[in-house]
Amino acid sequence: MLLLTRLLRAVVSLWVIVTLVFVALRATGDPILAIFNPDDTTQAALDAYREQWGYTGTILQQYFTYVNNVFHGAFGISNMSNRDALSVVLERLPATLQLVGCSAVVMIVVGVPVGALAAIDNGGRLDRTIMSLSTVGFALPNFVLGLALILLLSVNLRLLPSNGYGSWQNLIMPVLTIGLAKAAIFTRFVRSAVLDALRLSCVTSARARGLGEFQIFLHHVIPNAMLPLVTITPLLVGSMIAAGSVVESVFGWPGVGRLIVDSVAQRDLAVLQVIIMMVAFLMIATNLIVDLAYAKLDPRTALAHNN
Amino acid sequence: MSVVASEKPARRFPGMPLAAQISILWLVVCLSLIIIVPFLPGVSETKVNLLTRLKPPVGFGGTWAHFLGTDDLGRDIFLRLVASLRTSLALALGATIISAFIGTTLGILAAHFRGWVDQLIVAAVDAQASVPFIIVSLTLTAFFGNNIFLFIFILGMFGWERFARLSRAMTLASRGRGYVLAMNTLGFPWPRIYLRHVLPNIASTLLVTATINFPEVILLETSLSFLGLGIQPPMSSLGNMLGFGRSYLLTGWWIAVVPGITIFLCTLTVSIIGDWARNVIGRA
Repeated sequence: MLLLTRLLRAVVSLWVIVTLVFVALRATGDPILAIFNPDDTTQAALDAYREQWGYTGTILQQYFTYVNNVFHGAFGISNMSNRDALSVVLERLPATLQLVGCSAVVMIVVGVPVGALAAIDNGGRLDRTIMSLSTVGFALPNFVLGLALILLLSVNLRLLPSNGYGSWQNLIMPVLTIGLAKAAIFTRFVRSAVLDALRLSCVTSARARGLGEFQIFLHHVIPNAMLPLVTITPLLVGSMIAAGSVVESVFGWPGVGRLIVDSVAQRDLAVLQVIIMMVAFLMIATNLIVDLAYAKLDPRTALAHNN
Repeated sequence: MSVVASEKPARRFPGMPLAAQISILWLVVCLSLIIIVPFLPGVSETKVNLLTRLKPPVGFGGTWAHFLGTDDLGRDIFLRLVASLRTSLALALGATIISAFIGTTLGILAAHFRGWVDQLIVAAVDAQASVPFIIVSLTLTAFFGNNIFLFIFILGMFGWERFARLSRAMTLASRGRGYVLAMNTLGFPWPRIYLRHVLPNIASTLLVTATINFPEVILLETSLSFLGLGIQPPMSSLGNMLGFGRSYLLTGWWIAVVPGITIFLCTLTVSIIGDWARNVIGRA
């Protein structure tokens, strides 16, 4: 029952977003006139493009046609390349996944040990230093960090290429930009999760039984601290896709984020809709899976629901 | 201990950390500059002078005539910075007010009516929270962006769900409290109870939420303007100043670095003040 309600709400969320974007994009005027200059394009040509891209009839009619097409697997034609919008987006996906995957590794590799250290040194000098750095990392905009890295590593030291795609050198700066920014947030979550775990009675009792601090950390603190982190990690990884729209533009990375910016400049509605639908679907599905996984990982939540 | 405490004059903000004091100082300096600089005689952030183009700041070979340097058209970076700062802070403030207003109103409505109104608003909150807003706003600014009022409105759509969630939860809680029940029994109309009694009680929490929202709106606006989609020339914001400066990293790094540092300091200081305010309220 609970699963069904959650599923229903997820579908409603997805539908609301897609509909709002669809209406907002068309309520702002004729998209055809935004692309073509009506003074030097014939009426027949304009009508032909309208027909091809599905801009005929009222917004409501367009909407029903669009929804019908989506359910038949047709996501529209891209204005920019005159190809299927879905395949335009899908061919950009590997670059973004590569970027997001590597950034997630940086986030976890930096965030987990640093956050755990801060929690162990709760209130001490190390803790305060780490928390200050985390605030700084949170306030530092992606594009400022990205440009600072370019100034330092490309312009001054001439170590790395400032933009491009294909080699591992190209990957370093965008991954550092996204990974470190998210690590600043992740560190805080790790710290509070470890702090909560350290206060558990099983830790106290383990200490009373005479277990070593390392043993306690390994067997009692880590498993308990894992639970809240399982919830937040996928959400942070999802927000990396959003950060990608700026960072991919800074570093000329040919991923989905840069496709959004390009499509916006070219008024490519079909591609934009596919991207929004895909991101919304990914985020909502992730949320749902996390909730379900949480119940599996923590028997207490499952018990609470059954009672 | 209590005797010692009572001898001291009661301080309103006990033990305000140095970082928060410096942050407030920085914001005061920014606000004064925004207000005073336009009234100084003979200043113009749009004055072009090709003879003084790409002059570096003081300390890097520049002169005090343009102490933060000049850009590719010989415009003074400091004056442009002040103008951009005014745009960015005004946009962020306006957007935060819109978002707080929408969110709080919807939250209170949801808590008051319950039933399908509540369901609808909660579904909207879920939908808003499920997609990173920058992606939606990127899409929408392309079509609204040239109009500054619609741009503020798009920025104002950011973060309302946080205000809505909070005000909904707190209004629900306060409806069970004695004073609300008493006023309701005495026959006071609900709008009056909410505006005059419930809202002041939840205002401090909403204000802290606003200090979390504000730096994020600055980041959102500067990101959009950086990508060339938000504020358009001849207006300038910190984001599009940085976006244009990006092309001069080799010949005039200060054009990008000066607004970059300013954005960073603004978001950092508001975050620090927000953290401090949250701690103070958490202790109260």
